[in-house]
Amino acid sequence: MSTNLKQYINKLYRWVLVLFFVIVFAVPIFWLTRGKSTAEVSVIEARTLAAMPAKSFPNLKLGLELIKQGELFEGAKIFYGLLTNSSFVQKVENATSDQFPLRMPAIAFSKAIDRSIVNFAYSFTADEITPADVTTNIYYDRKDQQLIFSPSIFDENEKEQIDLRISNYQEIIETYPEMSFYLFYHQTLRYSPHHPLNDIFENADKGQALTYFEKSIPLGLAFEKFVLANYEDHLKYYYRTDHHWNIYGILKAYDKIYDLISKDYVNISPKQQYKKIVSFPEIEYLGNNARQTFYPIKGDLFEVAQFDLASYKLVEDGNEVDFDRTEKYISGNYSKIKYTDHYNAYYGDVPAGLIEYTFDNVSERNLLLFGSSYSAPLQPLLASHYKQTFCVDLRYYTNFSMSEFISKHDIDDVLIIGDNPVAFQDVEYWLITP
Amino acid sequence: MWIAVSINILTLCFYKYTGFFFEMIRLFTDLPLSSNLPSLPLGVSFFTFTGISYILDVYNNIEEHERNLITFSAYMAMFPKLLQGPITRYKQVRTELQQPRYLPEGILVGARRFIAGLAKKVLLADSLGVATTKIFNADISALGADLAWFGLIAYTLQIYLDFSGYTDMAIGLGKIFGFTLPENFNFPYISKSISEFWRRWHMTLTAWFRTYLFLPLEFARKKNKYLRQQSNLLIVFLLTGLWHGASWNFVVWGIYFGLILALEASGINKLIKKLPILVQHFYTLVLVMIGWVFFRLVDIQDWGLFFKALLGHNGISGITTFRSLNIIYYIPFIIPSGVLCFPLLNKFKDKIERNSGIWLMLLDIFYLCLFIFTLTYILAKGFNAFMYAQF
Repeated sequence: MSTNLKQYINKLYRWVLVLFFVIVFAVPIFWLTRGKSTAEVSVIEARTLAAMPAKSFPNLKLGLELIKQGELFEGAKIFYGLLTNSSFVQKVENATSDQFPLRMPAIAFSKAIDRSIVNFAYSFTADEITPADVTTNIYYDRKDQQLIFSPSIFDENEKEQIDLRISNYQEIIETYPEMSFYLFYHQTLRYSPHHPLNDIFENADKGQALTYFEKSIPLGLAFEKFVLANYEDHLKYYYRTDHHWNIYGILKAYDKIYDLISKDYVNISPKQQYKKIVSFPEIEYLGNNARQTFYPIKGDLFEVAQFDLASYKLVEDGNEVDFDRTEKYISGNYSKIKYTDHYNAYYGDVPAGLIEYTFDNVSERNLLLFGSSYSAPLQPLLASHYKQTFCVDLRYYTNFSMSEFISKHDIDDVLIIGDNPVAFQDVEYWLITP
Repeated sequence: MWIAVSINILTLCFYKYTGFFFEMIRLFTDLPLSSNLPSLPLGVSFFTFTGISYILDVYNNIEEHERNLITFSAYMAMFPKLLQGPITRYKQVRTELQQPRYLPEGILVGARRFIAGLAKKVLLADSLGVATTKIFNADISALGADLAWFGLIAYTLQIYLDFSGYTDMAIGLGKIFGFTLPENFNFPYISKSISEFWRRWHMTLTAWFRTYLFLPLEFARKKNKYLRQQSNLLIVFLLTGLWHGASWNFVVWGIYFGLILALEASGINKLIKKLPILVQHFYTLVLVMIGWVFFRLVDIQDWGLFFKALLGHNGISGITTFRSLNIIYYIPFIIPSGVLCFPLLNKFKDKIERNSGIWLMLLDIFYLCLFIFTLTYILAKGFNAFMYAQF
């Protein structure tokens, strides 16, 4: 190699070093130049990104002030706390990660590499269903081109939790004998006997949790279920890229719930009939499972049902809001960002503890409805049969107390809608305080 | 001297061994000892040993005492090595601390070393760590031989890549700032005996114990006939185990290696050297891996179950369990991790660095891509704590 070329190369590779330090210092320079960092919302991750913590160091100032005043021990305690408490460091680390330039493309790239390794590793097997990525328990089903959660596990711990929920239901029913209690359960694939990975997962639920619960359904709890008769049912009633049910699942659930409550509620208004199913072919709906894994999958068709409901007032955590997105969506007024969570955007995108419907109808009954995001599309349909409907999501309404609630509101019927955790399995959020 | 050394040892004991000590007392008495213990300061085992080495070197006139408080503080709190070493003697960095020199070549070499360490840690050690956690946290009494062996091999690689990755980062950062920190690893898994393994694994800790404990004990042995080299080895490795953590598994791990080294020192080493080289490697690796079982499983009751699993007592788990635990994904990581245990790539890299030219430029471009790729991994999966940071 000639000396000139060598010199040229030596000069050139010094630039590699420069580039290395540019990358290293990119984040602090980015922060310094962008001014005050504010909390931003990541559409893809459906969360607020961490912002840089305030640099006011109040504890440091307080510690110094105490030492100045001669309170050496108290000052030293604050300094010791500063040294051992890593909360500030953690906030900086989280913000560093969340605010990193080109973060999302970098994550997508990393996940693409992960997928290549998964594909390579599984190429020695004949598996049709392989992990969609390695940080979640979501799998990709090549045959049906869908993203599914791995089966849920059923063991002694789950039995204990179900027992606790049964006792809780009994207590509530006995405490409020004047009310009617209904439970509507819908089975998702991960709790179903038809999950294609059931044979791989030892202790897979396979419907066992439901069977266990059904053996001891409390007296006074009217129960209805919407189970998957086969794998095709899952494909028919649920999205391929999201864990939620699609419009066909929603309509079927509404039919079943209507039949359930109308047994006791004799004067119930007629079942709502949808005018038409509206499709949005321009929306490629990439649901939660696609968002979490960045799996390159064809999106779902987003469809909604149009109903002619009576007028109603909607109050969410004390604020009057409008959840009717039908007109907006039909006029094309919706987020065009890839990975937008259209399910939640359409049916109500703010996690709320309490949503109150007041319908302009002749009904004299009020409903208390417990449910998660699965119940969101059903809320206006069910509320249309009641004067007032109070929808509670116990994940967000954390200090809910039945006695306190009914002291403020007249409740006739209590309805719980959900899959396994909401219906009878989770005790972290879904136990109802009497 | 004794006062200064005692302050360091007492600091270490207070933070690290109070809980262990209380636990022992509770075993035999009903004393209501507090379970509200102080948090373990990061790197306490490393900076106290650094402090002790400085005191002893000054006391023994090996080193002049440092008069500049800032220079001394920079030595004690040098951030690249503060967390996990290498445990550095003052004479190794004195000149560079007093007269720092920042050379572009040093920065470049340091950056390469740093990136290599970061990649080892993030891409390989952390990935293998997920697999080992799944396996070691599973029901060990039902673990199949295939899964147990995979878990043990993955852990063997993980601990080396994690710790040597940190060392590479520390040495690299040191180079960037103009310091030459000592090496801590020299491809320990290619050793042909356990004594050789300990000359290649955590070299600065071994050197510390040799200089400040084993050699004085050996010196004492010549005066007091009741001591033997074997007993000295046992003492040193009992303390090496305890240095790693205040729990019985580390004590047993230390004694285990102390016993093997004592046996090797008793003449077994000569017999081993007569065996074919492959058998020597196999002997060393198997014993080291057995040692990692004690190291990894804190609960002593699990040891027997795990060894039974390794010997096939529970049959094999089969591909189904590998699927359900999602271990299949981690199998490909074994290959590059294994390759990094051999000096082959390092020799190749050294050759390129010596010759410069276009290959060096390509190597730097590779390092740059590796750095970017590693950052994407950190952004996607977060960054796990270093395994040795807990010691």
